[in-house]
Amino acid sequence: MEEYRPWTWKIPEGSENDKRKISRQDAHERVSGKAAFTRDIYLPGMLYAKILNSPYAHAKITSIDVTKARALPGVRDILTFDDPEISHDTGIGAWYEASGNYNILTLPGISDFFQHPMGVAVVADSEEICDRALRLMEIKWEERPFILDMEESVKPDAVKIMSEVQRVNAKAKEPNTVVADDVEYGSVEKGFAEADKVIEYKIKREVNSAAGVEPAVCVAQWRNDFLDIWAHHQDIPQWFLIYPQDSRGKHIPPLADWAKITVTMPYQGSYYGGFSWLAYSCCFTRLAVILARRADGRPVKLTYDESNHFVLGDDAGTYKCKVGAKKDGTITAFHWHMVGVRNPAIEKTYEATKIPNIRGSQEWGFVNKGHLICFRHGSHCTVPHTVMFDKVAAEFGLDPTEVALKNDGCRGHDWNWVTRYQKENGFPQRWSLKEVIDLGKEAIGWSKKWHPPGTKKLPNGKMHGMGFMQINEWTWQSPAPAMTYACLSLRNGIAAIIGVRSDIGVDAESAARSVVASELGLKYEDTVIHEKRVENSNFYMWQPGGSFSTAYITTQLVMAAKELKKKVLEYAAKPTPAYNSPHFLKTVQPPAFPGKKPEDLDIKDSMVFEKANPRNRKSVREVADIFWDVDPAIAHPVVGTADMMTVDGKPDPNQYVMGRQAHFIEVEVDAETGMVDVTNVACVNDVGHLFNPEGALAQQYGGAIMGLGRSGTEEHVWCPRTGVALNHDLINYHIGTMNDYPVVQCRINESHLGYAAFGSFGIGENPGAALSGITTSAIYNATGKWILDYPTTPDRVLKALGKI
Amino acid sequence: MAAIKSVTLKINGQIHELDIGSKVGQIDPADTLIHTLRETLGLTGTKASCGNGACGICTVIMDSKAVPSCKILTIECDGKEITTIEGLRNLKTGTLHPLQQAFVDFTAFQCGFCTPGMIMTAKALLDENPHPSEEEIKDALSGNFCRCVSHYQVLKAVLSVAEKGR
Repeated sequence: MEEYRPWTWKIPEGSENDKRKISRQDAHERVSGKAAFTRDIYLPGMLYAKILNSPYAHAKITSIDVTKARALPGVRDILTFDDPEISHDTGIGAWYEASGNYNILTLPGISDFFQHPMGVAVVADSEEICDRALRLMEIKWEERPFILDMEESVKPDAVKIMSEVQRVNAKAKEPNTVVADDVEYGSVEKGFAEADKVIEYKIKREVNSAAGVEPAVCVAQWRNDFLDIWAHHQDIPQWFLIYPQDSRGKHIPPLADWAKITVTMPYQGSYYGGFSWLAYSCCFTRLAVILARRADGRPVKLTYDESNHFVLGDDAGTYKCKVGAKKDGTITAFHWHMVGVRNPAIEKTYEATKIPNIRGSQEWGFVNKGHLICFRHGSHCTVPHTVMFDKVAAEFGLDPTEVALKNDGCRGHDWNWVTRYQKENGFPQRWSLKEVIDLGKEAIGWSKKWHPPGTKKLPNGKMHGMGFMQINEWTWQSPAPAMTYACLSLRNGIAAIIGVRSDIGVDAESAARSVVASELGLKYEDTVIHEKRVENSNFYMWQPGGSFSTAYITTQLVMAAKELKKKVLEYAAKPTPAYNSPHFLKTVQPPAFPGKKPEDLDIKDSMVFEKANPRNRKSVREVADIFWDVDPAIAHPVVGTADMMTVDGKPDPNQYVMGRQAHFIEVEVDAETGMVDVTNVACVNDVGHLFNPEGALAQQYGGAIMGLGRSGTEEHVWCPRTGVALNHDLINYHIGTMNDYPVVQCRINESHLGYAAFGSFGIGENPGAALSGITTSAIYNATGKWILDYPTTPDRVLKALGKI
Repeated sequence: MAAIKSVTLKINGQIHELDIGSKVGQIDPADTLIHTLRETLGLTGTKASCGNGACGICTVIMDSKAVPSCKILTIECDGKEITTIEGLRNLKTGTLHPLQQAFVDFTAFQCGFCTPGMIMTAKALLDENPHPSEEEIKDALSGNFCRCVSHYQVLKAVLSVAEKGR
């Protein structure tokens, strides 16, 4: 059987032309206000539901009197945490994410953080009545001790918090540790002994927020024992309804029979992961379904307000770092110990360096700050990665771009080894990091502008600095969050891609249309997306979007398009059979291309033509449609999950992360005020293979602004005395807008070094996470002082400068 | 002063006379303009997000000014002329307003949740100042939050409409 190696697939001739600007099918709806997001779903007889937000960081409800609330006109139902229908109901986060290490009660009676949605839910005729009813609840609370600092939480003698939350990882420890981990590759002690210098430092990152704009919402309606759901989510939420056990470990039946659930995924407003992978989002969906079950067939819309954006923060924490390096910048070993939700050393830095001795240890303890989870993934590992290269460069007076190149490799192998691997496995011999660094240096003028730290004062009195960081995008082949399939249908000469909506904004759909058009030989305009609800067939082409959307689904679509093209060419060379029906009477017709074999033919610009005589041509519609009624198979080429497997079903062990991304910034630091002005930004992303130029540009640009905010300004703030959050709203948690940053120079590189179709590996995660550590690099270059306490706000700059 | 019993709004050129009260279809004194637009009148093109006037998502034009519809009570809007995103395109032909078309042409959106608010803010700016500078556009749109879009593409889209008007 042919080995399944999508990166070796031949790029269709002329597909480069498809990299011109491509129109979005959904553009008109999105700019005209017609795009219906989940918030815009209104159904006849619909009721509204809201949940109480805790006013305490950690407190137990000792009594709740709902009498006044229940008497409020328009209130239809009140469900309290101690109701037998909900009291033991529980949910868990995505199994592939950190949040899969614990489960939580769907409607707990103990708040675990300020604004925790808990205690009681109200169903009423409007959201406003829900709000009024919640204010009428008479609740008595028993405040409990809280912990905001994770380093305190993981201590053996810490007070136990969040006792109702069940930790399911075998590495959990009392009282509060969710996971304790320690992984080593090579021997770090040996590596430190080989180093010319061993450097030690500590990094601290405060929590920041995805701060998307469409808060959580779920609409649920029962039709007897059939269930309809409209979900604002990045996963298809049937999974949440079949969680098999309650908080006591007792088996519980699914909330609905899988075969009787229909899910609609409307337009999705600004998702970056995070919330979708939390146990809380599972519980949110379960609660909507349970409330609807009590509503006697009326639909219930469960909504959450802007505090939804602050239920979670990113996977921040502290890092104790020890790095050994030689004078030429070669890193011989490092050990990062993170007190946080993930173990960063074994992720990107292990994947994308030749460093032979790596140790990553981790302690993750609960804190009363809300859920900590990745969003726009990778900040937790890009920050220590960036700082390590900067620290080594600074120690030996080297250019950090040279230090990065010196240590590039894959899982301890150097780039010479990687080059041999590329040659033996059908990849082009490319050095992605060198390419993206060269592009970025040229864009920002690095060679002329970079200077030793603290040596350039500008005429305006500010200090000038240059920052750089590099890292890899996540790989396409990581376990996908959903079982997916590709389905194409060809009718009237138009190829329809059938699936649930696959767009959280990244425009994977245009990429899908483009790749199908190229592979089939159709014009881009002759492809469409056909939105499909997820029904009991359990058939869906993709999840609504996420880390691997484009690279992942395009690979499947290329396979399906190849199959469909083969069918079209076979039908072009054979006669159509007779067919009789009450509506049609058809006699045997000669082939569209008499005397020709499929291999004599090809398709271009939606026309089937004879290769030896291109003027002999007929439209795809003319050739294929006549077979629709006699061979439905032409309409349904389906390709199943393509994930981490060769075509013969064997896991592919050789999936090295060879693509790299490089980002550069230029800053001016005011030493009197601590203000840092970012004056120039250049982002270079190697995407492997580019499908959608406009989509990629927007990912780079928007991601860069997000990343700069995460690095320089954004942080959740809590009162240390009360545990109350002080800026959990979009007024006080400021995200970068139009006039906060300069124009971002965006560059794309295509190395074809990914494992997906044509060597692609995507772009979406990278800038939003990668730039989240870059301001330290630039501020050090400007001032010669390190700020390793993120974000690099003016007060921290002044502190580093010894001004306060 | 006698209490008013109804509110008259001119929305997208159409007159709506709405009684004040607590019944379905009536305007509760506590109703915000965005609530009335979305829940009472079904104009869901205006999106709801922060509810605090911070994010600019819910922006509509009222008497030529861009305003956050989540921070205005409907009873304050009696006699006002309001334009929402639904009122921009040509209702007879369906043709997009030049600003909407520019957002399409420059792909000045991604998920599109904040796009109606951005377009309405830009519309109010261009109505008042048909030839704004880049800085004036940035200032006008600095209250419109978006976590995913390329601000540069938004800027180019608005500038292109301003240039055409020269």
